[in-house]
Amino acid sequence: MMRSLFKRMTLIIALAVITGAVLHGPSIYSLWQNTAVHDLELYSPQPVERSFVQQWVQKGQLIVDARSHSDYLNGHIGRAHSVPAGDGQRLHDVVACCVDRQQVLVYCSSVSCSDSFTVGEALFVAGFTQVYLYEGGFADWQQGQHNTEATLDEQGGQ
Amino acid sequence: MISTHRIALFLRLVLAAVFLYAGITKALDVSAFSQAITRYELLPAVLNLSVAAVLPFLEIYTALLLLTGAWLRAASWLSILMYSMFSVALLSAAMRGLSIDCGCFGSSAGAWSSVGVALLRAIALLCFSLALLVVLPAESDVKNGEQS
Repeated sequence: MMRSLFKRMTLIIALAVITGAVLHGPSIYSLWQNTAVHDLELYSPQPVERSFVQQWVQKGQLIVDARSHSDYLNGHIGRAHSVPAGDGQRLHDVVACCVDRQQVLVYCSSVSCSDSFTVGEALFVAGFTQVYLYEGGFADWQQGQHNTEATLDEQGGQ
Repeated sequence: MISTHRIALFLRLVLAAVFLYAGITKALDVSAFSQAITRYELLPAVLNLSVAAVLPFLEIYTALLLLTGAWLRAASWLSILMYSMFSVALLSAAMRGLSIDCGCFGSSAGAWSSVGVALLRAIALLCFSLALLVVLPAESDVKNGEQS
């Protein structure tokens, strides 16, 4: 009886391993290839306030919006790039275009969201050396009566 | 009086719903899930990536078995193993004072993802899995003829 139980459990685990390898094998391999720029354990983003973001925008520095792309299209901080959490393609695009700038500021909706931390982490691993987190996010930016941009076309995310 | 059949059905549905939701959200964003595992600082990078690729499907298959009622004993044991593993990992993170997102349901689940809440949830679901195993003999004898 125990043998039959063990066989069944092994079969389910084997099926999960095969499915994972078939569906995620290439992306896992790609992650493995691209993981080594910075060690994740060294990730320590610097929290910043609205005044810092104002200066950042005025200087034309790199900003990343970690909210969903539809939220981004409805309004975002000026010149921000859209990189929703988990969107590997947009992450790759921002890294490809801007990793030489080394510094990036990331924000999401408000203090309650964690996507800016997650996206900042991915950007750090991919090669950015300094990540600033605007923890107040877009809600705090709007409270400050700052100008926002809306992007009407679907291709305007970058 | 509530029969063991109904108790087992309730436990199966709760566990299956949680596994299915957790498995699908993780499978849809394997990159974020591998980062979440990395934050526990328990495994080397290659194992983090392997677990990120396999665990979502183990959860989904376990959920499907719990839903359909096939191989219930094996599914219950897998559920016990997974929730034991999650509880140990979360307890370890809590003891080391790590303030991380548990990664239980994809990249962002707000307060439901804090280590403390996730640990309580994992322990509760571990108890559910153990309870299911306890009530299973009567259930599986009647329904599936599964041997104990």
